[in-house]
Amino acid sequence: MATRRSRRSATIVTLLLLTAVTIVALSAGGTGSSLTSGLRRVGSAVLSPVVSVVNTVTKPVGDFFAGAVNYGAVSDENAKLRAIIAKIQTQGEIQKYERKQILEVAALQHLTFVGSIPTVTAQSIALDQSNFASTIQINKGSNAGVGVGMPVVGSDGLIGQVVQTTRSTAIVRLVTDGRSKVGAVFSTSNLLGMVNGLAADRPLSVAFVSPNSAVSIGMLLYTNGLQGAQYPAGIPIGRVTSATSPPNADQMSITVNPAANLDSLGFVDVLLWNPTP
Amino acid sequence: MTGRVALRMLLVAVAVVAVQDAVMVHLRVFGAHPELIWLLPLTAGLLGGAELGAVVGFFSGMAIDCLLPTPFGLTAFVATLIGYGIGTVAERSGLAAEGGVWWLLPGLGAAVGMLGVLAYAAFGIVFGEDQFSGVNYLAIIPVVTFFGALFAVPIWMLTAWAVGDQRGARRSRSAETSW
Repeated sequence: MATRRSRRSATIVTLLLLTAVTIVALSAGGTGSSLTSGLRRVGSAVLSPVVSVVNTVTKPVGDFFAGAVNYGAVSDENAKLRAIIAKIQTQGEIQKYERKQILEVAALQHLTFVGSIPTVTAQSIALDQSNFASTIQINKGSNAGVGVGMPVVGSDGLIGQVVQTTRSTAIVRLVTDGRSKVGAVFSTSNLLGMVNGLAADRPLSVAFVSPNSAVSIGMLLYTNGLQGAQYPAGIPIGRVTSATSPPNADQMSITVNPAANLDSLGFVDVLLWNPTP
Repeated sequence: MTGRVALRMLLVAVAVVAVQDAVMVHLRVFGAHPELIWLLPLTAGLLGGAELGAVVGFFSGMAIDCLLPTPFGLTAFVATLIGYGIGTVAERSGLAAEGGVWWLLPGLGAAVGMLGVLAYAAFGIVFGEDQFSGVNYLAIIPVVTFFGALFAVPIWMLTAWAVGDQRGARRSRSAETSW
């Protein structure tokens, strides 16, 4: 009896593991097959309202925990905030702050590198939902025309790419994420390279640049927009912070700081542009 | 698994997934946050055996995979393995029939948290995903391990409520076999 039961368990677990491996394999390569992305969309649509309700109900609890865990940092931050508030009140800076926010949004409306591509302005509402991914969640989704694969930019340059959507929200994979790869061209030459993300808070790296190429610190990299590219051409990606040619290496070792300030993402623009398949 | 157990387990899984996505992601220490998801297959395996552990691991993993921008199906794969492994050990040692041992839970929660992160990263690399090589494991592993120990008992209580019927049946089965 026990053997039959354990055989049944083994069969079930084998089936489940095979299903999981098949799903991982099908969805590998980013956007994934229509079957797995459909499955994910349905699951997300079912679970998102529950998460949203729990989020609303537990926000004070979450804030309490976050405050308790980061008590020291929160105290410091509170002291700084009090000082800032005092300054704002005494100097009448509130209007200036509001004007700054308006300017921030307005700046997104006139991005020269976007050209004639239509955009949707969205607000960042959450950071990294997984320990293993650098992402933000924005408050615009498929209802606003936001779709998977669309580039996301800030006033200074590329922020990332939409990887998941619900009706009212979307998840954006930042350029620093380990899965992010952006085809790039250097500003003062026609050198091409691939800008790879490594992880949150780490600089980007550039691959496929031949040793001793004319790359210098401070050079700007733009999206190259080559055929089949994931991004349109001409969006600033970042500036070179180090460039060396290690002996016997078949490519240069180049690091880049993102052009956009990924530490303070208030408002972003989603480009209503789809990568060419 | 009876329909009642399945329904209750579904409720518990959805609640844990929702709390993970809505609350735990804000609880950041050194940039890392707790991962409750590994505790579901642990407690289901302990309380219901290998089959329940694997099934709960698979479906709760799939649910969290729907919400995360990480490889789809990877959490389900690792959680299924954890549930089955813990469940098998619990069945063979008699822990499953006894409903688990609550005082072991913090240690098990910590171990499974650490194991979950390492297995997740290792299988991610095996499946060819680039994002796992540059992640700060020195922050993630201690945080997930600590909170795994902290939340193991509450998740066990929820799972124990869900599998109440099954535990009764398992105990009687166990008693019959001993006669």
